[in-house]
Amino acid sequence: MTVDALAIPVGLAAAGPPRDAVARGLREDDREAIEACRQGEREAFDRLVERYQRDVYRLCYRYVNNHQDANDMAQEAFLKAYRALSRFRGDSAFSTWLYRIAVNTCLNFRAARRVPQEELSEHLADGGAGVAERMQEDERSAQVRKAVARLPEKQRATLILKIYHDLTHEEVARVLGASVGTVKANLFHALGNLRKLMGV
Amino acid sequence: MRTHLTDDMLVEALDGLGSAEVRRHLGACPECAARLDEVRLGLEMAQAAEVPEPPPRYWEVFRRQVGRRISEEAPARRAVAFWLFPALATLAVLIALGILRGPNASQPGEPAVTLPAWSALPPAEEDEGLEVLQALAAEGDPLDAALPPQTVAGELSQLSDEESEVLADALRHELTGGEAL
Repeated sequence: MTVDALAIPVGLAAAGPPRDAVARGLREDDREAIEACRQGEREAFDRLVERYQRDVYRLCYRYVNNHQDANDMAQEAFLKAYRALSRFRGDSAFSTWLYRIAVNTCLNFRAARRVPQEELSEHLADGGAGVAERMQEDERSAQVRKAVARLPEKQRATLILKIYHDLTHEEVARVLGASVGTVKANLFHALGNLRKLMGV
Repeated sequence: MRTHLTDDMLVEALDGLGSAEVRRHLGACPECAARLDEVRLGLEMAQAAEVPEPPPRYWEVFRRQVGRRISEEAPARRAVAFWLFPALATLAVLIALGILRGPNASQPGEPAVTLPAWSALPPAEEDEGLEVLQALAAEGDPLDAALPPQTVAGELSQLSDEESEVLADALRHELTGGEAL
């Protein structure tokens, strides 16, 4: 590997949702909608749901790995957000706050249901090689999602928020209530474990 | 940089944020370069996994369902608030009364005991002399036994109130020579 090759950003955020879906601060339209909700205009919350429903649904899907549960978890997350809206201080992006609620909802759901598939330990042994090459594209996607769902909780949460939702390390740290160093370490292990789970 | 790169540094390098020193190390250390390649492969796999997109109409249904659940919840919460406030107020009054009456408040059904506002005597359970007094009371008046009935004092002790009054008048008459005191 050359130094020049490393100079090109690999782009951890490349697979994330459109940039406009992720706010770095509190968006003005979010602020207006939140304010309207606090004034009793419930319809304003519809605008927030419309704006973030895809992201929240996908985040939940990455966790639970099926449509029905993802749908339930996403609805639950919005409901919790609506109830807690008066406590949102606005010192972070609404999306960051909402993701935190969604992650907690999924974690509680998984803890209550205790997913049948066994969760992997933090450090995995290397699996067999060549499996990924034999898969079709859609099968491969399903396989990766399954592998992501088998990662230890913190690694999975970090990977989902960082890779699929384009959050910065600092934002992931805020959502998960962890340090930036922990987030980076978890991401490193998550990616390594994912590769091993895929047998590559 | 002599030691190998930390996980943090490798993640930063993966994100294109590694320092010049980190890059130099990666160029010179095959072990760290191999570790970076491994996590990069993991990243590429993760990026290739898309979540199946629900049909377009799903989002409208989703929004409606969330809206309906919020609407259903709002009246219920208002109803709770409607009875909760008076209930809490009543509870607060009861608690306040309980605090004012204190822990010695009589139990329901138990006859109320009127206590003097102040007493020099200690409480019965703390009165060491109470047992002695109760024993003496059981034996009768100690003066009765001490004075024989044939003595003056013994006879006087046997007089009724009326007889004592008559005796007192007679003595007064004798002492004053029949003049009123």
